[in-house]
Amino acid sequence: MDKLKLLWDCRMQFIEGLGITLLISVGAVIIGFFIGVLVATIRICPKNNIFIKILDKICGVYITVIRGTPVLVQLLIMANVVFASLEFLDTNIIVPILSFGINSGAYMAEIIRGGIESIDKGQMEAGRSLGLSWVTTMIKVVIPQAIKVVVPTIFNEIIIMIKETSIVSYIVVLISGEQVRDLLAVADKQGMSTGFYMEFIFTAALQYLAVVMLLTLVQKLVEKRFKKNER
Amino acid sequence: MSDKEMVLSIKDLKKSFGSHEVIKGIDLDVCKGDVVAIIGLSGCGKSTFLRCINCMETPTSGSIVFEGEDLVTTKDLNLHRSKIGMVFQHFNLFNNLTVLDNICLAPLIYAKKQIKKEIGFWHFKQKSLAIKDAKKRVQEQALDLLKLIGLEEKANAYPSTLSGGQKQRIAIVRSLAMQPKVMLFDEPTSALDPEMVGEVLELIKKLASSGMTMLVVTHEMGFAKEVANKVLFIDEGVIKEQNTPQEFFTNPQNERLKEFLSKVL
Repeated sequence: MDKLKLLWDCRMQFIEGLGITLLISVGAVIIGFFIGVLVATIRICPKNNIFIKILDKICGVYITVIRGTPVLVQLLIMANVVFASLEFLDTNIIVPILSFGINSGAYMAEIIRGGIESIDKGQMEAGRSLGLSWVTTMIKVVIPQAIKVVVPTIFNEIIIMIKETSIVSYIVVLISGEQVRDLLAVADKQGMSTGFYMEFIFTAALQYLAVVMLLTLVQKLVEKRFKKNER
Repeated sequence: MSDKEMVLSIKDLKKSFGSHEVIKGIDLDVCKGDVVAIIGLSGCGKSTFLRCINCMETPTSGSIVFEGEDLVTTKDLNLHRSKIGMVFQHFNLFNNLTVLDNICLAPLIYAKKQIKKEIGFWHFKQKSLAIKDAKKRVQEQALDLLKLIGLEEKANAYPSTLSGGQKQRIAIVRSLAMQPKVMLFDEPTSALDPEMVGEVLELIKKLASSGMTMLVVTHEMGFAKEVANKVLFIDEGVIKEQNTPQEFFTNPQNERLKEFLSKVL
């Protein structure tokens, strides 16, 4: 009972920590999704001019570099190199949001590209043969089919990313010298100071689990919504 | 032949994939009402040739004159394509749309474009009324087309629930909904179960007798003999022989064609 009371006493810290974890996650998902759609669009559209070809190459490099290096390294570079000179910003929040957003963007781009390319080429051909433009056929025919393919994988990516945000607590942002106080950081700190480390870590684990289960529920609803058309 | 209106005029059409030349210079004039059957061994380039006609594959060189404009260089390819119907081996119905929406999609988009051009962007009320009107008109036309093939009760079904023969017949009327000047058929019955070939050929025959200009890549020799007024034999990327069906099948000149016919007939 003492332990439960101790945990209950720390509820405000937990809520704050969870809030920061969610803030980082939501921000990163928004940035990641935006980058993903943009990069995927560039990668799949017909390469009929030099400008698009150059953009395509840049996107290719972006995906290779981001997927080829650990998030932790990206986070450290973002914190200690890119944002080292921007003292007026609250880098504790911005650095993780941007890092995870840019990281997630590369994966999202590949998921979306894969989803669109998994749709039979005949669908695009049929649209074009009827005199519809590439963009119209994409919007009316290909993308609605691709969404169904992509939804489970996108959710998978979001879930992985939410849990991965827990590594930010081990980064000390150079200029501010402060830790990012996310869910795991709160549990870690409180656990250390109270001496009930395992209990606090388990509480954090349960909260991550709850968030992910909630998200899985949302995924089911979204999938159901898109299954309605067809069959 | 010369008194008939020319629909398509293809001159010295060539197509290469990388260093591999598939079409090595084909000339063909198609007049209004012509039914041209294209036969040949698999891999001879007959499908590629057909796909070049509406620039599904961009030709490497040559010209395709349709309605007075060269499709290879035209700025308005989409508009011209809308007047050239194409039917695919694998039907390619839009899986995310109902049968009715499959047929209505392209006509509706073109009708909306027309309305926007005529009424202008700012007259929202007038525009939405006109669009409603167009939608009704397009849907009625689609239902009429479905009645024509006896599938009006499938209007709200999704393609995944249909048989191959039904899918292909719907794919054909989907092209017809754009009121094309010429129809291209790319092996329309090759992916069908044998018992469904008949119903699709029947519809194509009906179209032919209604005066539709069409080019048909096919393996159905009986169909070519019966319906076409001109049969082409494509081999090694060129037309080796073209003739009326009677002459073509009873009195072939080309050695390769003789060999081919002896195998398939």
